[in-house]
Amino acid sequence: MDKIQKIETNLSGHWANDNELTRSHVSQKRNKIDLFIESLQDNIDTLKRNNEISPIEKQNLFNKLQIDHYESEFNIIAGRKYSTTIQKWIGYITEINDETFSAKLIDKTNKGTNEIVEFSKDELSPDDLPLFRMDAIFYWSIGYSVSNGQKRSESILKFKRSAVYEDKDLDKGLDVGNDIFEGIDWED
Amino acid sequence: MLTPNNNIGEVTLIGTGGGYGESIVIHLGNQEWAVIDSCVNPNTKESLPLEYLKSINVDIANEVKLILISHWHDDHIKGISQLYNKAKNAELFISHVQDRSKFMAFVGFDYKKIDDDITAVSTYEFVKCIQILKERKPKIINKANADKRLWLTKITFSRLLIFTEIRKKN
Repeated sequence: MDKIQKIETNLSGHWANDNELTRSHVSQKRNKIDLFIESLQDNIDTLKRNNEISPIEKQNLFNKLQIDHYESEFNIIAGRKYSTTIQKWIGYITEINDETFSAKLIDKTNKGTNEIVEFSKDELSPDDLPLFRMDAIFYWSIGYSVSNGQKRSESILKFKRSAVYEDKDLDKGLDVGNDIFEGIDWED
Repeated sequence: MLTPNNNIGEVTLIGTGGGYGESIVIHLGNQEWAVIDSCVNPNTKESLPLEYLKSINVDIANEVKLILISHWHDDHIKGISQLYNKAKNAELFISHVQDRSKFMAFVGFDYKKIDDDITAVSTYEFVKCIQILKERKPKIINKANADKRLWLTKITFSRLLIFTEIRKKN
């Protein structure tokens, strides 16, 4: 076989290079980098002008620099909202009363004995109400969220969402699958 | 921009780094084209490999020879049925299916949910391709395995081979 020649190509004029999507992506990235460098220079100038600045103030400046002007591809550094879980349980409902319900909980954070806990029905989220019944499984976590530097305690109850299939659903799924592929040959 | 010369192989990667998904468009030589996966332009919702082929005036109906669906994720399958619909003479390849009856059942279960508008885009795109295939001859789903030759074309001075894993021929 003859040798295949590799040709160095110039992307200028190529559809991909001239595409609006490529251009907007590149220009967004360039703008972010420009802003970051500009901000970096401003802060270095501030530090140079004021040698008396305290270490805490230096740190604050640095934090501000990252949060205000640098946004990574995955938005990690720029993220100012986050949640931290301190402890979590998985439980199932054992008793339902007028205003409360009881559940048996397994501690997923600190392995130990099971616990029985009584919750107020006010803890239930509107979207979870159709799932609320005896023996329903749910997840409970406590922790805190931080939004714009403000810390807030959180208690989250979330019911397990499982697909419920009956025999007729399984039969229907198989029938639909057979219909879709009817008359089609597969290469072995 | 014009299509490459008959004896030029061209590989165009679409979507890498842009967050739109990924697709590879390959000129195999002799105005024969292969497309691996598809993603869509978020503004027009059109398949990006289709946009590219149109932009260089490829005769999509006749010159796209094979379309390969590498896997089932939305960012690799969106828009592939649009492309396959236009590529009237393309052969359809998918990755090896381990258990065909379970695969068919899975597709059936997921597609059944389309009535509830909660089916996955991937299933919708795949089933759409099968429906298009049913209107064609032969009605065959080709299998793409590593090291398997999917297409062969002869060009003036060289022969270009395409594999699911591209390797240098010794």
